[in-house]
Amino acid sequence: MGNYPPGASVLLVGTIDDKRRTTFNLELKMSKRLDTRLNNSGHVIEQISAYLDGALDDVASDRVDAHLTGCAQCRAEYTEVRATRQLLRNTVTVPPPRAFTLTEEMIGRKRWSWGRLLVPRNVPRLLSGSAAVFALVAILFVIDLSNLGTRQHAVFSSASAPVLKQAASADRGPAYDTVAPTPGGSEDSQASGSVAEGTVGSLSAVPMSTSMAANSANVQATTTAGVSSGLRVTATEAVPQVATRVGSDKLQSQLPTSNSTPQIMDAFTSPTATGYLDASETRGSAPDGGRILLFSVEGLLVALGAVLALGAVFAARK
Amino acid sequence: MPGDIDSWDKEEEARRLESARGGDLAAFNWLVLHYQTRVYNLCYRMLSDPDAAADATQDAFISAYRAMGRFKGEQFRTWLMRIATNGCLDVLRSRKRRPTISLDASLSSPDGDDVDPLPIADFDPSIDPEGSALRSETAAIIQRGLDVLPEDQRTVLVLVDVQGLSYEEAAAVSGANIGTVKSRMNRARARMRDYLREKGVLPSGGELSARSERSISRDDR
Repeated sequence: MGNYPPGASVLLVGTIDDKRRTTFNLELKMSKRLDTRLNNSGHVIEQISAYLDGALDDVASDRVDAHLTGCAQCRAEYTEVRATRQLLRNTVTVPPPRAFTLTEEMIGRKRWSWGRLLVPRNVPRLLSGSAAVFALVAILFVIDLSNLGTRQHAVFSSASAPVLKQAASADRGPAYDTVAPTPGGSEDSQASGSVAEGTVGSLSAVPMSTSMAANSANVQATTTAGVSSGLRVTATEAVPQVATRVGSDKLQSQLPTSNSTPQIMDAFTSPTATGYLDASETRGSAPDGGRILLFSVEGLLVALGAVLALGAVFAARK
Repeated sequence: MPGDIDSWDKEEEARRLESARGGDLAAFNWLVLHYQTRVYNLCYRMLSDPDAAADATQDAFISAYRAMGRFKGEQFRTWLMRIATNGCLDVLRSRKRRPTISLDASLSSPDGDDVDPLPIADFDPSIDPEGSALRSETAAIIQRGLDVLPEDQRTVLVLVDVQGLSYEEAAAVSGANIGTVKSRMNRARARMRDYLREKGVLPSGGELSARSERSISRDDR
């Protein structure tokens, strides 16, 4: 329905369907009635409501009083408006259908948002900002964990294959042996189970930086720490593949003395493999030294972010 | 709205307000329990639908809780009703954009069909059963009359006449100045009067003499 100001003249032209025309006509009638009353100077129609509600000052109120005495039209208006008001005032108070008390769930209480709700404006911005930084750094941290593992596997696995093999056969048992000589993807899942079991313990305990030290036992741990079991299996299982197919180029870059595949194979199986291990290791550690630094910095930021975030939580608790 | 709806200890309310401002949810819920009838009725009269009114009431209290940090320097009742009123106006405006057929067809029709699909339970049939049917029909007509008013007129009429606010309070709640409230009240009452007269609900006036009307008007206003 329309929002026609009193005194609106016919505004609509063109096509109106019958129903809308009826609606419009009714509205027009009502507003025209209002028009007549409002526009008649001397009459007090437009002041009746305010008069009724005691919103007129004494002078205006007395004037309306005096007018009403002599004007039947305005008196009728007054009576009807007063009756309307009474009907509205008499509308029954509807009892609420339920209690509208709030639960924690309704106000959406999450750990990080306490600070926003309760603490003065400037504080939560700092703390929630640090929480965001913390989250970002934590993500980078996790990415680097996995990256470090995979990078190393390319470096170490090719050179340390004999070492691994020997250590593995000594420590692991049949599962490991079946993996080493047979390339192919089918062994992956089988080996990953047994291999992962053995090394999960060392994974969590050994920080990356110390495991980078060249040590046959640690080498094995290094390749596994931070890397999923699947990746690890790929590293060890792919050793012969690397030697025979894909890795020949890589091996050439790592091991300066080897140029042909048969030589590489000999290098693997010879007792002097450890020499290659050292070479590739030092080669590998140079780029990874930077990664160690980045890694430690990220670790520090993660710790710092955790402290700040905890601080936000405790501040909000107050 | 009867005056006794707000008759609780204002000191106690002030204490709860302080706690609630500090984030005490239990204190805020005390306020909810004391104001929910008022807020629900405001929403109900604005939206003409019990379910929409319940949603709007809940939303109003949630918004109020979240905004408690910004509440200061005015009456809680006015502040809370402003939140509720604005929420209802948002609902009305979104209804205009996406009209639901049942609501518009039956309520906005000027043809006067008395088929009202809305379950307006405005009366207790155990009190005066003969009059209750009449009251219920009158109540339904009044609600329809409110529904055909333009938003701003409906708002002031509900605030002043149904909720019993003064013009000043209505101005604070609706964010308009007193002059605007006065003119909206004038138009709203006149329109409602016309609607009620068309429906035959308005008692016919004019029986009283001018003098007695005047004295009535002074005392009984």
